[in-house]
Amino acid sequence: MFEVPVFDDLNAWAALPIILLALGTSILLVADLFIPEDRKRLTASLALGGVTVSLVVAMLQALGVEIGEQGAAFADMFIADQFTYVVNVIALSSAFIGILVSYDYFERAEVKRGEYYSLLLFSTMGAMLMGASRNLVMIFVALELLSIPLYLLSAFRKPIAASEESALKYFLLGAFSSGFLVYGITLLYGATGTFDIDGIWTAAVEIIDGEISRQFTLIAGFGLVIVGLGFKVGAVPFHGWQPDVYQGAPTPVTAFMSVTAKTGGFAAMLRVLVAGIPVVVAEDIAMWQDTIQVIALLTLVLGNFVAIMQDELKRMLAYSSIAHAGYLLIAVAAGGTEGIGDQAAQSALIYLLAYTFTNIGAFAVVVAMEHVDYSGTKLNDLKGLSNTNPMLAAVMALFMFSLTGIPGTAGFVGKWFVFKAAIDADLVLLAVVGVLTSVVSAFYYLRVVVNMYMEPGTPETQPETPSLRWALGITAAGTLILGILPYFMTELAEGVTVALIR
Amino acid sequence: MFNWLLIFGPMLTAGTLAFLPAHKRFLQLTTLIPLALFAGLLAHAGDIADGKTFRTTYQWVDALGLELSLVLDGLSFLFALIITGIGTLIVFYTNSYFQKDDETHRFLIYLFIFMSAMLGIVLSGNFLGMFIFWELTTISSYLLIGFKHDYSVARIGARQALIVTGGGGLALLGGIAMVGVMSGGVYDFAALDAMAGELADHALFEAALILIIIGAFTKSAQFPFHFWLPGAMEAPTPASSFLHSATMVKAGVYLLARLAHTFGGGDIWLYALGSIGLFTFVYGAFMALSAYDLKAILAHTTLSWLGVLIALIGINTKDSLKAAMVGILAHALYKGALFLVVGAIDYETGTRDIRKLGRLAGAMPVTAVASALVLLSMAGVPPMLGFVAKETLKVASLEHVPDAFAAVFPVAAVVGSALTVAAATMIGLEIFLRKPQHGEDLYAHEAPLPMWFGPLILGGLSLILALFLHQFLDPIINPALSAVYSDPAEVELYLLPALDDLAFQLSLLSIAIGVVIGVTNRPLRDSLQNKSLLDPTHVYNKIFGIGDDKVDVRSLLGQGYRFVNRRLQDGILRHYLNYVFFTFVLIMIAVIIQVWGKLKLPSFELDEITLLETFIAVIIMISAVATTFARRRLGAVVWAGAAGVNIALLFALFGAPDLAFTQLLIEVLTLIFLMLAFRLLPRFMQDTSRFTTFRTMRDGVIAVMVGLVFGLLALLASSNREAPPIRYWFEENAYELGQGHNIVNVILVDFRGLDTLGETTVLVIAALGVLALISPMPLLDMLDKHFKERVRQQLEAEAALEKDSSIISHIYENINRVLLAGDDFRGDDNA
Repeated sequence: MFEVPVFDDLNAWAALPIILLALGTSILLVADLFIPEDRKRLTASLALGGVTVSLVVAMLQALGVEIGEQGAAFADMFIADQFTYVVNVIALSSAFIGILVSYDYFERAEVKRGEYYSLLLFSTMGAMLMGASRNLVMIFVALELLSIPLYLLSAFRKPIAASEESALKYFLLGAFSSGFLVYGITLLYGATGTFDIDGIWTAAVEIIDGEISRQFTLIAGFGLVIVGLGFKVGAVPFHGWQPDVYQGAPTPVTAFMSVTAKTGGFAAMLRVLVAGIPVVVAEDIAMWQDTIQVIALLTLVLGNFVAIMQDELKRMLAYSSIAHAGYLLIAVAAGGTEGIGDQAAQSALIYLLAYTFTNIGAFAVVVAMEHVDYSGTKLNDLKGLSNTNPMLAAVMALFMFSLTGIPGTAGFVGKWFVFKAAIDADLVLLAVVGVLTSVVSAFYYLRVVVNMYMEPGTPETQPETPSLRWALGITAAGTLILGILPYFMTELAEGVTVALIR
Repeated sequence: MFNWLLIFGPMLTAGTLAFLPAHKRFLQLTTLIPLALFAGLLAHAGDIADGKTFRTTYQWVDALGLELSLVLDGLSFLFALIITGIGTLIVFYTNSYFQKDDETHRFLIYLFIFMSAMLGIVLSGNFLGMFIFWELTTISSYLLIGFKHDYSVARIGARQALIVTGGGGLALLGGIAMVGVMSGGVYDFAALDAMAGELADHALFEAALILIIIGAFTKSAQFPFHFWLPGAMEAPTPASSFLHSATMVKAGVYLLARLAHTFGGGDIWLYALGSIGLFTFVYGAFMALSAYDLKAILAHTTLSWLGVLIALIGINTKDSLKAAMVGILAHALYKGALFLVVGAIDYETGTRDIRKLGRLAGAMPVTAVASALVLLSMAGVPPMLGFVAKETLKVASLEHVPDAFAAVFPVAAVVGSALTVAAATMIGLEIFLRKPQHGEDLYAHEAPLPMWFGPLILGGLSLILALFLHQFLDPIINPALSAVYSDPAEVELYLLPALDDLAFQLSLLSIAIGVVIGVTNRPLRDSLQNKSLLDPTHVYNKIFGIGDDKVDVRSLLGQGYRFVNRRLQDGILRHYLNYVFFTFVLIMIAVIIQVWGKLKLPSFELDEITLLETFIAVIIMISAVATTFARRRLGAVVWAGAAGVNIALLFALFGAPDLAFTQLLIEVLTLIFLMLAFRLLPRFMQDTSRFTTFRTMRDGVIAVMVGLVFGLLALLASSNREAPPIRYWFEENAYELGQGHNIVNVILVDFRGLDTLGETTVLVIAALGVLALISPMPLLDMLDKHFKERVRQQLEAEAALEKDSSIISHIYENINRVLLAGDDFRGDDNA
C-alpha cells in the first residue's frame, strides 16, 4: 500500500513549463548573488530569457503541439489539459510584460535588488499551479506560492510608507483568507474523504442523493472556499485590501499582481466550483451559483461606481480591477448552470487573456507617468498628454477603450464571451447588470481619454526606456490584435474543458 | 470591393490625414473623397432601382457568428446617398468654417471617422457588425460634440450625449445578444427576417425588442432621452448639421426601419413607437417655439421630425413606411441646410440668439434665398419636397392606421405639422425679414461661397427632386420601401393632389395654422422664456451631477461615492476584516439555517467532560478575550501565547501529540519572532478616540458571531462526520509499516516525517518573510551585536542536551504518563 513512486509513474513532463520556470528561477536566484548591484539589468534579462523559454513551450502546448505529457501527473495532484495550458500562457505573458515594466521603474527608484525577479517568477509559478491543480491541497500550496512573493513584492519600495503599509495589509488580510480557505478545504475533506477534485465530484453526487446532514459539511466547506478565493480575486465584500494595496505597492508590482493573482484565483475557482461540485446540486439547495451571483452583482456595482469618483489613476485602476473581477465572476456563475461549465471556463480565460494585455498596459502607462516619489499619477496629471507625448496618450486611450469594452479592442471580445455565457446559462439579470455597469465604466475610463486629449496641460512624463517601450508596444499590439482578430483567443480557448479527465 | 471602400474609405482618409500636416490644400482636397463615394453610389442607382441587392461577406470571428457582411439594398442606398452627399457639402463647408487650419484638420479627422462609422451602420448586413459601427458613431460624435473642449459647456454636452447614447447602445447590445439566443447565433438581417415567426414566439422576444427600441430611441433622441440633442448643440455647426440632423440621429430610425419587417407588427412595436414617436413629434415642435438659440430651435424641430418618422415605422403600413422614407430624405435635405445657414449667420453676426437677429435678407441675399427654399420645404409648401413628405404623412395618418391610433394619428399629424410650419415661419421671419426683437440691426456680410453653396444646393434639390418626382425620387424611394416592406412595392408619389383630397386639405389646414402661430410667435416665446418643459435633464443631473471635471457630490452618484469612500473604504484594516468576517458569518448562518433540524447535534453526557478539560477550555477563553483587551503588545502576545499553549495541551489531551508538539513549536517561535520585531517597532499607539461605544460594540458583536459560527461549525462537523477517525488506521499500521511500538513516535518520524520537514521549512520561509517585511538590515545588525553571544551560549546548551539522546521522546513519554492515561494513543511498549 505504500509504494515508492517511480519517476515514470509521476508523468512529470506534464508540468514542463512550470518545471522549466522553476529550474530557471532557482538558477536565477543563485546567479543573482554574483551579479553586482549596478548590473541588475542582467538579472532582468536572464529572468526574461527564462520566461520566454517557458512561454514558448506553454504557447506551443496551448496551440496543440504535443510537448511533454498530458493528463494527470504527480499522483493525480496535477493535471495538464487545455485549461492548464491557457492559464500558463496567461500567467507567463503577464510575467514577461511584468518584468519589462519593472526594470526601469526600480532603476529609477534606485531599488537594486535582483531577488525581485525571482519572487515575481515564483509568484507566476503559483498562478500556473493553481490552474493545474486537481487537488485541494495543491491549490492551497499554489495559492501560498502565488501570494507570499506578492506580499514581499508589495513592500519593495520601502521605506515609502505606502508601500510598507500595503504589504502589511495584504499580508495580514491574505493570511486570514488563507485561513478560511484551509478551513473550507478541511470541511470538504470531512464531507467527502478526499482532497481530489474529481473525487469530491464523485462523492458529492452521492452526498446530494443522501441525507441532508451529509450535505451540510460540503456546503459549509464550499462557502469557506468561496470566501478564501474571493479574497484572492478581490471580490466584494472581500475587496477591502485591493485599493490600498494597489495604490501603495510599486506600480509594476500592481500591474503584475492585478493580472496574476486574478488569473490564479479564477483558475482555482473554476476548477474547484465548476469541476468540483455537480451542477444538479443547484436544484436541491441554494448552492454556490446563487452565492457567486450575489457576490458578482455587488462586485460589479461597487467596483464600477466607486471607480468613477477616484482622482488618482492607480486607485481608479484598482477599483476598475475590482469591477473586472465582477465580470469574471459572471463567467464563474454561468459555469454553475448545467452544460455551460466549459463555455464559462472558455469565456473566463478569454476575458483574462484580453485583460492581461490591457491592464498591464494601462499600468505600464502609469509607470511612464509616475515620479519616483509616487506622485504624478493624479487624473489631472494626464491633462494634455496627447500634446506632450502623443504615442503614450494613444496607447492609453486604446487601453481605456479596451477596459470599457469598446468593439475593436480585446476587452470587447472578452466581455462578449462572458455575457454570452451568462445569457446561455439563463443568468440574464447578471448579463444585463454587467452591460449596464459597463456603461458606467465608460464614464471613468473615458475621462482619462478626455483629460489626455481635450484638456490643456503639459504633463511631465518619465523618459521612456526601451524596455518600457517594448512593454507598451506589446500590450498595445496585443489589445488591438486580439480585438480585431480574436481567432487567436478563441482558438486557444476552444479545447478548454473545465471538467477533469475522468 | 467598392463596398469595402465605401465603408473604410473615409476611415483611411482620416488615418492618412492624421499623418499629414494641417495644410489647407490637403484639407480642401478631402472634399473629393465623399464626392467620389457619392458618385460611385450613384453609378449603382440603376441596379438598385431594378431591385438588385449587392452583398459582400467576410468571415470575421466564426465563433461569435461575427461576419462582416455588407449589403447595399434600397434602404442602405438611400441612407448612403444622404451620408456621402451631404457629407461632401459638409466637408466643403468645414474648410471655411474654422479660423485655424489645425482646427479644420482635427475636425476633419473626427468627421471622416464618423462618416465611416455611419456608412458602416447602414451598410452592415449583420446585426453585430452594425452594432460595432453604431458604437463607433457614439464615440466619434463624442469627439465632435466636445470639439471645443476648452468650453465646459461643450464638454458637459458631449459627456451627456455619450452617456445617453452609449447607454442606449449597451441596451441595444443586450437586445442583440438576446436576438442571438433566440435565433441560435444568427445575426444576419436577412436570415433573421426569414425566421421572424420563430423569433416572435420566443420567450425573450419582448425583452429583446424593448432593449433594441431603447437603443434606437436614445440614438434618435426620442422622449424621454431627447435632452442630449439640444445639449449637444455646442458642437461646431458642420458637426451639428451632419450628425444631428442628417445622419447620426437617423441611425435609430434606420435600425427600426431595417427591423420593421422582422420585428414589426406586434403590440409593443406599435404602441412604443407610435405613442412615443407622436408625442415627441408634437413636443419637439412645441419646444422649438420657446427657444432663443437658433440651433436649439433646430435641434427641437429635428427630434420632433424624428418622432414622426419613428411613429410612421411603428404604424408599419405600406403608406406609413413610404411616408417615412420620403420624410427621411426631405428632412435630411432641409434640416442639414438649415444648420449650415445658422452656422453662416453665426459666422457673420456672432450670435445665434433669435431675438437679436433680424432683417438679414438684404445683407445676405444668397443665404436668404437658399434659406427660403429649405424653409418652404420644411413648412411643407408645394411644390417642395417637404410638401411631398407632409402629404404622404397625412395620407399615412388616414389610411389603414390600426384602431388604437386611428383617431390620434391624424390629429397629432396636423398639430405637429402646424407647429413645424410655425417654427419654419418663425425662423424665416425673425432672421431675414423682421426687425430684431432686442437691439439694433446687426452688421453683416454675405457669407463666403462654401458657406452658402451647400444650403443652396440642398435647397435646389428640395425643389428639383419634388418637381421631377418620377425621374429622380421614385427610383430612390421605391427600392428603399421594398427593402423595408415585404412586397416589392411600387408606389406613386405625386406632387399635386386633387383639391378635394382629405389629406391635402389637412396639409393646407396645418400650413394655415402654422403660419398664424409663426407670425405671432413672440408673445408665446416671451411667456415660455426659453424654459424647457418636461425636461429630464434635471433627473440626469441628479444622477450624474452637473460639473464636468469631477462628479458632483450633490448628485446621487456623488453621494454614493462619498459613502463608500469615506465609510467603507477608509483604509482601516480592522474594518476590511470586519467585512470579510461579517460576510462569512452571513453565508454560514444562511447555510446553517437551511439545514438546521436535519443535522445531528453533538450529544454528550456532562460527566464525560473532565475537570481538566474544562479548566483548560476556560483558560483558553479567558486568554483569548484578554488578548483583545491588552493595552500593550507584550501583554497581547503573552495572552495569545497562553491561549496557544493551552490549545496545545488540549491537542495532547485528545490524543494528538504530534499536533501538540507543532503547536508548541509555533507558539514559541511566534513569541521569539514577535519579540524580535518589537524591538524595531515604534511605541504601540492606540487612537482611543476611535473606540466609540458603537464601534466597540459592533466589532465585539462580529467577533462573538465569528466565534460562535466557528464553534458551531466545529461541533456540527465533528458530530456529522462520515469517515472513520484516522486513529484506527494508525493503530493497525504503526507496527506493520512503521516498525515501531510507540505509535506517537512512528507518526512523528515516519508517517508524518515529511510534515515535520515541511513545517520547519515553512517556519524558515515565514522567518524570511518577516525579515523582508520588517526592515531587515537593522534587524541583522541587531542580531549581530546583541545575539551573537547568546547564540553561542545556546549552542553550547543544546550540545549538552544532545547528549541526552532522545529528548523529544522523553518529553512525550512524560506527557503520556501524566496526561494521557487511558487514551488511545498510549503506545504499548511491551507489545
